[in-house]
Amino acid sequence: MAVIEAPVERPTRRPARRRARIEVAIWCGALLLAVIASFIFGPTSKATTVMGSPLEPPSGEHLFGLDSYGMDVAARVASSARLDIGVALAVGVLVFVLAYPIALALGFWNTWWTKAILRMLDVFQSFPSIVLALTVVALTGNGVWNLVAASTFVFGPAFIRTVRSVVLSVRGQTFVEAALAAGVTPVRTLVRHVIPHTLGAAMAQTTIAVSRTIILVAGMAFIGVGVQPPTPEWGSMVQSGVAPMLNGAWWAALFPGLAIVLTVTAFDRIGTLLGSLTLEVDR
Amino acid sequence: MRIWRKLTAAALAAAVFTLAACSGSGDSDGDSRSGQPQSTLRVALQEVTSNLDPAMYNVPANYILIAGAVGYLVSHPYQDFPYPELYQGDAQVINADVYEPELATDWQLSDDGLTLTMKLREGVKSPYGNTLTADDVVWTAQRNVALKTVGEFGMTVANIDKNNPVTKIDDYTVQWNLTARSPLLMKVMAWSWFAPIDSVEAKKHATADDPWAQEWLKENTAFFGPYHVTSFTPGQSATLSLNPNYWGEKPSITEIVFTSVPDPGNRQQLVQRGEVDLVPDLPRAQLTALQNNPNVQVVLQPQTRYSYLQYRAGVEPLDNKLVRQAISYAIPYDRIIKDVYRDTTLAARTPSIWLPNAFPELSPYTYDLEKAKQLLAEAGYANGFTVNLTYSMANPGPENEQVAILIADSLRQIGVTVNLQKPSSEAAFTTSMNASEFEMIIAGISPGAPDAGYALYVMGHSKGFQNFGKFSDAEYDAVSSQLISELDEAKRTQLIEEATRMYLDLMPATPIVNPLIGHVATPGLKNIKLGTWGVPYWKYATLEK
Repeated sequence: MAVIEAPVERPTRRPARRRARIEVAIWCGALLLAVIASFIFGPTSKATTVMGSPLEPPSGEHLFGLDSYGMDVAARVASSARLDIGVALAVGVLVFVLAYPIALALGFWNTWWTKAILRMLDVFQSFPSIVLALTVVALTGNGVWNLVAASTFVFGPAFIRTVRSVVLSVRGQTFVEAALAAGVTPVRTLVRHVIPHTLGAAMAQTTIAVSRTIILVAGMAFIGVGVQPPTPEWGSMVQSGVAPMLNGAWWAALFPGLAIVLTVTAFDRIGTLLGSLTLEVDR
Repeated sequence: MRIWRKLTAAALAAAVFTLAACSGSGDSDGDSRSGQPQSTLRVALQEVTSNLDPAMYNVPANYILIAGAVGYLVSHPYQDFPYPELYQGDAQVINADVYEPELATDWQLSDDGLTLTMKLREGVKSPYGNTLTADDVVWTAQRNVALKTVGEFGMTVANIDKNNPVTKIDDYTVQWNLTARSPLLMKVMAWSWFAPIDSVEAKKHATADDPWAQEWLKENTAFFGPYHVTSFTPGQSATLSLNPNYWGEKPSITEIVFTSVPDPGNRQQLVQRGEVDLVPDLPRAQLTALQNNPNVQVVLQPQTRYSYLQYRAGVEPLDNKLVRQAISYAIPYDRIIKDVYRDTTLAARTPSIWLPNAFPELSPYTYDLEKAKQLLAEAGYANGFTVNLTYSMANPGPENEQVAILIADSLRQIGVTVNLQKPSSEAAFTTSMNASEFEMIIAGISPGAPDAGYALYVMGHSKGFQNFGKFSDAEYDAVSSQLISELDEAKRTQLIEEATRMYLDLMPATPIVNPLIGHVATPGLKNIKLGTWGVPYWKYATLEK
């Protein structure tokens, strides 16, 4: 008599997913720590008060030195985390809340209006993101919420396209067709069958939008749009710190630049790990 | 694994960044051109103007381009800076009390002081080949009145009859008509707004809807001076070329190319590498850091331009003079001079700064927070208030942001919360300033007539051209009006003193500092002579290797 052995789960799959979850937790924890630290080490009063002569080098009293306004670079880098991460997360929430339903609709239905919306998205995506953002800010004015709106406008179309492609893929699955054939309404099918299988991808795309927002906001502040001094913001700090670097004052631009790199890396990594976890779930 | 690669790459980038910065200002690669005296001067500006119309000349972006190129009726000779106790450097400034013929060769004031007969130089041609005649002077004057330019304001202070400012006597003689005698008449004749425009050429481009050729003059020039604009991309670049028909001695520099380079770091690198010859508006921190750089020269010169903090009348509580005085006591003047301008500025105690017959010693304002708090309490604002402060990066200069931040930081200590507002462009700032759309504003002025009485009038009189805050006080108007009509020197000096005292009490605008003009240039650039508005007169400059 043949012995049928039960399939043994490959030992590499579960530990890899565990490691990914742990890494996501670590990165999220690091970001949370950064925000907490910003309240402790970068209160607004300290970050926007002139502490001494401009461009004093790092010292025991001012670990990262003073910038060209005479303000503490460390306090401003820390304080800026609230703004930059806050704006980025706000954009993430808005993109998810506004663009995900659109992506679901565009992927689930194939009508003249879905095609029209897709063509409109093509037009928006043909513009470089910074040009589109500048246009929105020019129309709505400088300010934090205008930046949030501009970034949402810039990254929403890319989110919609990417998540829509996942929706299309799920829409073509047999279980979805079976549900519709059995008389389940399209909306109920979306909620019960499509969303669970696309949520992971949507979340991954959201974190990508978040990390790109940080770069966009920093880039716009670098050219003087958006957040205005003395409000601390990493991009504007790099901008005001670049010219003094020519004369040896390296600290004013280096530390905010590093903050941008580390934060973007964190969100990128979270997005990549979420994406891989999603693929594992959908197998 | 990928994350570690990214972090390693980031660390390497940071290290390269740091090494580049720690190398300091570095050595220039040397001028890319070599050999004989150069005829093309390359200038990098923070912002090239977007409008060439003389009617718009009231901000640095305009007149740094044009004011050094037009054909003036009269000009001033140069003298050594007459106040060595204020500035010990080697500098020449205009002697505003002496006049030299330019397009006007002779002038006679009538005995009653109500007409000035002026002879024009014959044979002067514009770049378009049209000859200067009295018709050009008349048309230019009428244009000033119709468009309410700074020139029209000049007529006000010079008591020129705006209904009939100038009459043509013959093709080369004009007569200026005054409503009253004026001590400022010849001073305004030296203004660029009185520089005749080639009306024959301008009229070709005038229309029924645009009788003064504003659309055409927005992007073209038509003067009788040594240069004219041959290439213009608004906001980005412009080229001044020699007027082929120029009547005077041919300048050594025949072409000046202006490029907009908004980032000060880029401007510094360009002049260090010799890719441009002159950067007139670097921030002080960079300018002073370059003073020992062998590849460039830093030229500092006194000038009459000073920065001020102006208050909008009708905005509570700025319309209370005690509040304005309180703010004036809360401005950290010494810190601004030392930390922002790196000791390359003079103090500005009154609107008349160091002009002849000024009374800087009358100003009581020093940095005194206790006094400021006391005045605020007296005004009923012991708990402070919130106010907006508008500034730009060009008017008067790139230090404005630091100045604004220092002022905001200091005012916070007396309970005043300042919201800083920086319009998106210089044009937007100028629009806001001209339309009085601000609560407090930092701007600059170079008194067009280098005269203490004029400076007090223009800043505080209700019709003063620089009175964008729309300040109005009948008593001050009465005193300052006499400053533009009193001819007796002794009486005028008394009036200046009285007006100064009144101004310092009412404080419609607080003078902040009077920076030395700082140019960073290649070593071969010589004879950077400044005119009335603190701008280089290009015809004197020479450039050699």
